[in-house]
Amino acid sequence: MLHLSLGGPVKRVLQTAALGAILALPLTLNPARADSVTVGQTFLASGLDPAEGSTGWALVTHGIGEQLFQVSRTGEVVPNLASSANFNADGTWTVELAPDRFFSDGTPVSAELVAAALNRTGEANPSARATAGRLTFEAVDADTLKVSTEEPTTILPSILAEWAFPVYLKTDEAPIFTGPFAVTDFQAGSQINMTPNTYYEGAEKRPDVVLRRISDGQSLALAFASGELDLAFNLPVESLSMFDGAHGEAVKSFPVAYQYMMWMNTRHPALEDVRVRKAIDLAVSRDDLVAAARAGKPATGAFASSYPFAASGPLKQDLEAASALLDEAGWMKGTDGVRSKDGKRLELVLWAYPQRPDLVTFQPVIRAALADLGVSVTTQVTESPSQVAGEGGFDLFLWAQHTAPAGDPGLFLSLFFETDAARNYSGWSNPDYDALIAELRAEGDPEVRIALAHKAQEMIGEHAPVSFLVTPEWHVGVSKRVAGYKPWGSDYYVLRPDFMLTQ
Amino acid sequence: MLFVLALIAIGFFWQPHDPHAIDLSQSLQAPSWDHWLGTDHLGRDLASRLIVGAQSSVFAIAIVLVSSFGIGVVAGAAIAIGPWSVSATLRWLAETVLTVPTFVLALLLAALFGAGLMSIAAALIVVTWAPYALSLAALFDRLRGEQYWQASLALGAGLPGALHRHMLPNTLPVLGALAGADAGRAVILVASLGFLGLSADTGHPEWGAMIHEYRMFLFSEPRLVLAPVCATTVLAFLLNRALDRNINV
Repeated sequence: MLHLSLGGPVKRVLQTAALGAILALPLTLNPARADSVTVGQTFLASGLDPAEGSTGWALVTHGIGEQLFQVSRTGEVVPNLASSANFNADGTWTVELAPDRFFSDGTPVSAELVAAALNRTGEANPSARATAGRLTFEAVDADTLKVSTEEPTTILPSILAEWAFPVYLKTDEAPIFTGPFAVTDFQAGSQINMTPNTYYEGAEKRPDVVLRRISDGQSLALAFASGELDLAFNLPVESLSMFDGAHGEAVKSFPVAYQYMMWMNTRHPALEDVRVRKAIDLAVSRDDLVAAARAGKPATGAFASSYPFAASGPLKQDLEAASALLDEAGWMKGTDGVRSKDGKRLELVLWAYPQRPDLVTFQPVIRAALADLGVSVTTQVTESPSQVAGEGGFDLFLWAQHTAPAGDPGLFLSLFFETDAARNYSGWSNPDYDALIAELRAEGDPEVRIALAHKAQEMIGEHAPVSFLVTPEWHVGVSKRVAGYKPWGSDYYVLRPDFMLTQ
Repeated sequence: MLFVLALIAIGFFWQPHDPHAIDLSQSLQAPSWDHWLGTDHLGRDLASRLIVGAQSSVFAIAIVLVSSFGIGVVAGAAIAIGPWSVSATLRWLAETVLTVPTFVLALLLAALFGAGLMSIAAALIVVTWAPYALSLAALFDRLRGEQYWQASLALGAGLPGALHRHMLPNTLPVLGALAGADAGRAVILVASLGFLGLSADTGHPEWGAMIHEYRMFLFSEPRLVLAPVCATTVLAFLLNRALDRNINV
């Protein structure tokens, strides 16, 4: 038997040596100030302009940007830069700003500045128009905003808590934000140096922070094991056995409101047939995926089961039914076990990205399941998931998404599935679904919204442009310097005002 | 060497288990009669994956050696006996490509034409034909000064006969040694690029990709990493030794 048992000190030396030899991570990246904390993440903001793509999400995650409303640790939408939002009889909204809030350069947050920033974002970023169309902000006075929505909505606070809406001050140089941390040095895609925003309450208790991007989960784990990082967010499950706590490090596991899913490109000649998509969906065992990831729960639909609008599931595996569907669609098994139709073999490429290590683990499991069905699958990994997905350059794509970032189902159901929606990666189009989402958008009654969200999930299930797989559990490594760190149920607020040194 | 090649050849048709078959109830099993090298974290048979992984290396090496050897011999002959303009141009080209780092070239080709064995093989061919050509040309120059070569021609053997009788026995051992070094290098390069995720299919059990996938188990289940590392090292060493022997023929 080749199993080696390595003692703590030996293991530590080997791990450190492995880090240097295998990864060659330069120690010089860490300024290593005594009161500075180094945080490793697989994703990092690629820019500082919230009007571009999902940069707003990254900025909120890093504790740099804030919205008028935010989602609390318990999943409720609560005021942040705003103090209240009231619906007016004419269908508009009045938003009052919270007192004594400042940008990190000391400029007071005013209705005029907020309106300028959010109007610009709304114009430039399709993600900001997903839930209620284009929002128009108008300063009534220094502390009051009037908000008009293109589509009627009753959930404006929730919309304003979406990641596309950080408030910022546009300057000739980089935008300035209001969060607990301010950027001092920005190296796109690799490192962000931050200092506490002195105009934010409790700044003296917060440390300087160096955010480092280590896109590969395994490398992130090795960096944490070597003591390079004080906090490592989203460690792969395979790495957890490396951390024995002997040096004060700990791993905190926590359920998240993300969903793992698999997009099916409906523009693919085989996948344009709903029977093929349904068969693939039926071939996958969610239980096997959970076992492979060694954490999480089988998905029941588009949303984590903690949400009232989550589907009740379960999503079953039925190989016989899957096989029958493919037979019916004309894809017959050949002597080599692979199905073909009109001389073309049923061969698909399954993509994933290393920033979510669980997805890479899922690839061989899904490949094996589909091989049993007669679908030949090859696997690919990309560092640029948004680009590959956005360009439709995939057959199947494993994806991780927070499906209710503001506690409401509307954003996800609209942004990823409506015809011509900005992130309709699967290319699916269904007029009945579009009509349903329009109804959901205008509906104010929470109970009716839940019913509509259920119906939308049923419709997605029937047409299978996506296969919902697992509601995951994530793992964050914390050194003894930040032992008091408490992860929230996602990666939307990784760094918060309460991020401080424990010792 | 023959034994290893025989094992690899058998692996094209037979493995103890399906290298892709997932059995989560059998994850991280120690070596046993059923699983000679144990199983990985997804319950896949490690020995089967190792056997299939050998095919990638052998495939790339075969393409590289045959192509670069062929191109190198033709180019070398053209340098040695061709018109001055052709000879000078080919010599300059061969000397230039020798300065190109193979690894960087492979990355560039993978970026241009997509990741995969063919990109890796193409990168190796671009670089490895040159030593064959220059060596052959140099050996031919030396041979032309030998009396037995001139005597052979004077006695009416003709160029083809002289080439066959004197040229081949004097150059093949040297070119064989070069091929041995190239074969070993190809094994390492294929594994290195697989480790970086540049395999055509990241899920295919290629040795470098296996090292990448299993590196997280370096401390808890070192056999997972050691198996493909040892396989890569042994194959590179054996190829080098086997082909290098030709120099003493």
